[in-house]
Amino acid sequence: MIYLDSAATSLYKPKAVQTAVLDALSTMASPGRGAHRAAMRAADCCFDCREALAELFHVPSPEQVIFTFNATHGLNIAIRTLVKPGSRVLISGYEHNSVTRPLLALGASVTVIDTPLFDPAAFLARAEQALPQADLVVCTHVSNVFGYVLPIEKLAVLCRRYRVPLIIDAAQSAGTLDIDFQALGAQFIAMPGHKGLLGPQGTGVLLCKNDALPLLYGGSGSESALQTMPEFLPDRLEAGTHNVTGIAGLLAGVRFLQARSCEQIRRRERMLLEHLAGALSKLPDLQIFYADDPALQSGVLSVLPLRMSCEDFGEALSKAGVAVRTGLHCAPTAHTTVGTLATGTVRFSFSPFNTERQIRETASICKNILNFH
Amino acid sequence: MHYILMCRSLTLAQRAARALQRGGVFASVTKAPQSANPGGCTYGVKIAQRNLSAAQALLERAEIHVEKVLEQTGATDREVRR
Repeated sequence: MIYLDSAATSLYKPKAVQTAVLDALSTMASPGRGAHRAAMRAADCCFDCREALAELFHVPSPEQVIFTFNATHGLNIAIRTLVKPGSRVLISGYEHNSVTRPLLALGASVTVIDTPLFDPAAFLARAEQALPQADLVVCTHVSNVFGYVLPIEKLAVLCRRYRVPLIIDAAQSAGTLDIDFQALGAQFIAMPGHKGLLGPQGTGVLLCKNDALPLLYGGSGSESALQTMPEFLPDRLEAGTHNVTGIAGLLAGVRFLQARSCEQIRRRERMLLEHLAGALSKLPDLQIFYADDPALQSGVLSVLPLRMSCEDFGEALSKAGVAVRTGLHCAPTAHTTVGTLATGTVRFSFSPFNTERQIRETASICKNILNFH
Repeated sequence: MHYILMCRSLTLAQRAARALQRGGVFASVTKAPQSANPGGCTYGVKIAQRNLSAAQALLERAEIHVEKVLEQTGATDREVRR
């Protein structure tokens, strides 16, 4: 199989991730639930992972690194902390349902900055106009549908100027783009562990600037005599038993990334993306959402077949051994902005482990599918 | 005899232990005695008696706050300073 669905979850992982998960299964118990060797091994593993993540994302203290079960979990904590009914929230036109659904559920008044694809100047201009009337900004770093890299650093500067808190959804950028939590000054950055960070499914990370409201209540292994959650991080946000095996795998994934660099991985994924976009652009009846400027697109290429449905195209690819995702990708807002809500798109998303040969084969398979349809 | 530097969380105790080890002070994370913390379970960092001053200086430099210091002799604990 040629796996080109890494924007959903990375399937190709470093061998060290598998080894770490298996080792944790047989040697680690639960951190904060005892002081015996198995509990302390788990505690050390979790702490090492917090430290590694703090270093990777320039977080001042490992206590500000919260383990979640995925990016959605982290975004829910962040959004529930900062949004009250009627809060005026600005979002980009490329947000995932993990942002829009909690905002709707909490009764926020949402303004969508629905500017064109790959046009950061238009986005920033609209954001600056709207910021004086905003209580909060929630913005994705990279669109999960189109790979559009939003100008998050410049948006963060504007948010600081207007003193509006910022939540960043780094679901598609963590592990691929440099993220400096301290320099950005965001209130929260949420990310999955199982995509660019190369950890197992069921892992996620929330970077917190200050305090946050718990989403889950329960045992934390600390201040157990009290019936309220502890006031301090990370315990305040981590009720219940940790996903220690997942965190062990995540640590191995993060160390794999630290031994390289986000820039190196980004360049490789970009090269693969350019190869595929170049080959597909020669095919008839296929609309490609591609930015020539590498700074504007990362890791994801969406296409729209004009003579067959996305689902038929995806099914034909699957039969030929190529795994992609079709449809709305849980991001109807992005499709509304770009005008593909009725059709969805076919999304190819890359990992540093994909090869140029796989990309050539994929292009050839696409050509055959379109020719014989 | 040794001291336990009580921290408000396991993670902070781990950070403290790492800071001490980097500074050349042998330290291990331990579960603090229940009697020393009415709020319930907490963790601390165990150090040898002779290392208390050096440990406190290292933790101050690392901006790590210790809730209290317990002196442990055999089965008895005594708070010695905050």
